[in-house]
Amino acid sequence: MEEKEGYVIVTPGTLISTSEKSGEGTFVFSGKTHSKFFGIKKEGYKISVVPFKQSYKPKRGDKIIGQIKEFNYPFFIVDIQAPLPAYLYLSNTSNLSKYATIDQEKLMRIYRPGVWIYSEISELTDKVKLSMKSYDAKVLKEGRIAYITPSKVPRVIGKGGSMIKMIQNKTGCTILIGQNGIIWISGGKINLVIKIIQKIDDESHIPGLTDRVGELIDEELKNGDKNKSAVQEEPVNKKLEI
Amino acid sequence: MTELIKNGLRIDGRKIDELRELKSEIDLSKEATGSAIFHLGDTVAVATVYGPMECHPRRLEENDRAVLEVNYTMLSFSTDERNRPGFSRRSNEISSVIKRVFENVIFLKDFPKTKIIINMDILNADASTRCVAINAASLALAHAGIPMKDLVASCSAGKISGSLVLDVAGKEDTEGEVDLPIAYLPLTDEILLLQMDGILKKDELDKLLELGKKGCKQIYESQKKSLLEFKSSGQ
Repeated sequence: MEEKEGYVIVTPGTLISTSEKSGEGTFVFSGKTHSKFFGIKKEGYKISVVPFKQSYKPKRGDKIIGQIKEFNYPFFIVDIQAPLPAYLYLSNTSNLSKYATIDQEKLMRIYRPGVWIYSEISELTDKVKLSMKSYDAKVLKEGRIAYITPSKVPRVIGKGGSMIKMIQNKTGCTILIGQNGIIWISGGKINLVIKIIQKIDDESHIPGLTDRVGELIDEELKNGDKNKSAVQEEPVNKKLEI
Repeated sequence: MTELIKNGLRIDGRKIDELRELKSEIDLSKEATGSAIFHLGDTVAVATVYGPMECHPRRLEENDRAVLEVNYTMLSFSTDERNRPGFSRRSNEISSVIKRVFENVIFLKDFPKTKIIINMDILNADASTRCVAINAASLALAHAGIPMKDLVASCSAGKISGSLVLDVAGKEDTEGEVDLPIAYLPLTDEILLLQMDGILKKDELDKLLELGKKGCKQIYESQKKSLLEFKSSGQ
């Protein structure tokens, strides 16, 4: 266990409480609470540990981004970066009544292998079932994908959406975040947004993140303008030399 | 035969209850979920962890817990004579022994119907390779974010020309009388691996176990330290 300003790093097996106040990421051994993960200690009503790296655990109602892998008659198989794949049934692809005829050929043209979709987990039994029936579900076109550890998704969004709003305003991008840690970015300065997401992934445990990200964006935008003007000037000069 | 212990010091100048130099590093591979390298003197092991992922072949899948696949291999350049690459009778045995160690440490019930792969490669062999492989693997598992009871620490103890020593190395391994590798879980005070070749008296075995546990606690502290250093270096 190591204490720094505002946060405590714990390794697996570290004693974090002498009572049974076990929250997420902890376990109780002989009446005392220990950490399960290598991560950051979080104190509230219960003590929990947020791991630095974690695979996504599907939850019912989560909005996620996934990639279509293949079609296998009643369903499409979707990769959602979890240990097990998710399934999108033909009957869940649209809001039509269950008596309507489903145009399978057309759906296969829309949900081709390699296409990214934004959808919702509707059922969680032995299989993870997706649904495109919710109003904001869609097929994603023309954009780029970035990855982040699922436990850090709340930090990208910020308190009441403060971080994501700031990034969108300053860079002019449209950003969609899946709870499974996949982020879709389109329009505006995409490379800058990917740089910011990398920074959040590395430094999310250090306090004052939103301010530092704001500074980084301002700095990059200034440098970007300088580079742009330099690039524009160069060809003009060359022409003059000729 | 040369004298293995002179004036209380061993061939390489160590005391009887002293470990070789410890060094470890985390996050070597980008493709693997977690990875680590562990040095104990001249013995070096690299461990990589993949998963949790879908279990193939499907017949090995368990409904209520994850399945472990453990591969221990000595690379062909790790020994002074070229080692035939691939799996052998020895590596299969050590893989299955190490698998039983980690089955007791990882919370397998958190990931039903999945598989976790642990690969351990020995880059350089200078006695107690299985201990170093276990140390590297437990660091890689922690880095991969897999829930564990505690970090596993492992080292060997032995008997050389009549006296009990910690961390057998080099000539002591081939010419000594007893070699006893142990893997130890400090939280529950359990011994997860215990193998021995040679002959010992009962009270000597008890003393050797105490000595081994003492060495494991030193290794445990060094593992913890390297994990904390990895994060505080701004990674």
